Amino acid sequence: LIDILVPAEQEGSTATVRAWLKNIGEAVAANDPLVELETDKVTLEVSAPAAGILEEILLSRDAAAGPGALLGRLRPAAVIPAGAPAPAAVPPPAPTAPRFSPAVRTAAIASGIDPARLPGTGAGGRVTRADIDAASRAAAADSRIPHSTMRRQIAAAMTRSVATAPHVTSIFEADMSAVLAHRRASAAPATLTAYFIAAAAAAMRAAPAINSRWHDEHLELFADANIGIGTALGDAGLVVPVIHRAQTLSLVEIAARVADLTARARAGRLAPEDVRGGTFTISNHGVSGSLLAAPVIINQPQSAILGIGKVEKRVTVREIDGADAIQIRPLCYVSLTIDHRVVDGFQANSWLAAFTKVLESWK
Amino acid sequence: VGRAAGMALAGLMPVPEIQFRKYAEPATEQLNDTGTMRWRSNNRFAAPMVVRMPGGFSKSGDPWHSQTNEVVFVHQPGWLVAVPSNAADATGLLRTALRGNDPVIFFEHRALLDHPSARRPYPGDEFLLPFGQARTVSRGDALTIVTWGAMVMRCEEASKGLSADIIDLRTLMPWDQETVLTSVRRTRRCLIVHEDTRTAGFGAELAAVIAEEAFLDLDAPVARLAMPDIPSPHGPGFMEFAIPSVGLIRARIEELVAF
Repeated sequence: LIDILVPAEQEGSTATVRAWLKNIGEAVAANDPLVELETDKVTLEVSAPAAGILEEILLSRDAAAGPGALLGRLRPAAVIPAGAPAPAAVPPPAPTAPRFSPAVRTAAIASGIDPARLPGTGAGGRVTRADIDAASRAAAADSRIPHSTMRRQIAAAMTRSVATAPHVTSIFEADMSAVLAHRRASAAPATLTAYFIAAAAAAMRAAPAINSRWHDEHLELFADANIGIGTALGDAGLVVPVIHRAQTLSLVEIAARVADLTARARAGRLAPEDVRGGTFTISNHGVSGSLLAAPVIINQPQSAILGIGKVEKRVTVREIDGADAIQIRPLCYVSLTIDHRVVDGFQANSWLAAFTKVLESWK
Repeated sequence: VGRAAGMALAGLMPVPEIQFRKYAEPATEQLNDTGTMRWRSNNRFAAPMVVRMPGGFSKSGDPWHSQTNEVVFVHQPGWLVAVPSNAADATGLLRTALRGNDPVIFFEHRALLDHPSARRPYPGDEFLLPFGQARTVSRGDALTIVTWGAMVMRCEEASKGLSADIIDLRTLMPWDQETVLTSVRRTRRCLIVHEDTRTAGFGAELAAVIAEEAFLDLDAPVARLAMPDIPSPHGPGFMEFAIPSVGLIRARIEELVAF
């Protein structure tokens, strides 16, 4: 028998088994995806080490899976005894739309609970009226939701960051007229996020200490701006895919990377290297309507985090040809939250001045 | 039956007895005509009588004495049909029948004539039971069992340890729709158990009314357990197979509760 192991080098400190993609007795080809593991950062697939038949499942759903742990065993194709019946892959049951009794349908309308989403306790898994009544009572009561791996990791990271780094937030306002004009003139407009990444990479030159890591005896300054983007996964939490070496990329290249990473993040298909090695993070909280969030908590062990508010047209006073004028401009608040051990307000404001200048003079 | 009809028209209250159920067949026409007397005469004449009729299984079965086939009388306009399951109910229903103005088929089950489950203290000279009022034998939430006659004791035995509403209809014409429907709307599952053969037995009428009136409350199909469409067998072994036994009833209950 061949052991199926958790990869030794896995991203994130702990993983749990999310799902087995094959059943015991099912034939698998080499490199077929076998198991899905969920770490605090990514979902990993473990593939079959060889062709054969899945013989044993040792870690089932929701079990903790440390690096090198034994997930199950595979009987290799070569040692299937001669004359043994061909391993018929168990055909999945024909998908039939679930059908519900009048009592269940009546309750579903009254309670707003979709019976198709309930586990049934009736014959053959049928959802009974008692099932939907119980779900309805449960929905009306307070509930306890066990923490996911991701939720626990976010909680630990946030607590550690606030306890470690004295947070200070500085706020500028950015005029997005130039960026929006550039977007309108583009054949394939980049997302605003791509502009913010490009401007952040450029702003590092004005205040290199923002792109750094604090050590007890020294400060480590990074040559590359590896910029992470906080990507919300709804109630599941958030992940931070990283655009590596952003200072070397054009706007179009950044936009392509962002589109690819966010799509895979939402599909749960990020690879470990996609979330590794970040040196700075952007929280684009404005996409969900927020004007200002302060402080945005620093993604340890980084030294600063950029918060971007919602872009909206606001009335502002500008001096035009020596005269004050009331103007309507697309504006957004941009905030830089720093680790005050590493830098002071001076560097934060220099960085923000450079950042807004890049955006406002975009050509 | 013809002589009884004449006596009734003359103002008496005859109580003819037909032994047994199967021997009512030669009197079919006179029975049928007795039922329509009030309707035909625009209520100027009535022929009230109580036709006592033993039937149903006993220690052994047979195609004649052991028939129940009460549904035939339910299907004849003008007749009331009583199917008591114990001596007290029989007393109350018989007294009501004797005081009424309509002909009544009074079905006396052979197995209950001297059975422990049917014995009751005499309920007194003034004890009357209205027709169309069922007895709730036991209360529970898992399902409703609707039955009558000799099947009541078997349903009680079969549902021991379970939470079931057992309803003894006591009369089939009229039958107590309100009690049955109220129970089924609460338990959402209903098993009908009767001794008569299944096809077009009275359970079919019950099932149809329940499906019509309580459709939105049902969480399982209305179930029937009855004798297969065969004559009541002679041999006790065959009888155990054909007539709903405690074991068969229990199995059907469990199946329905698990649905």
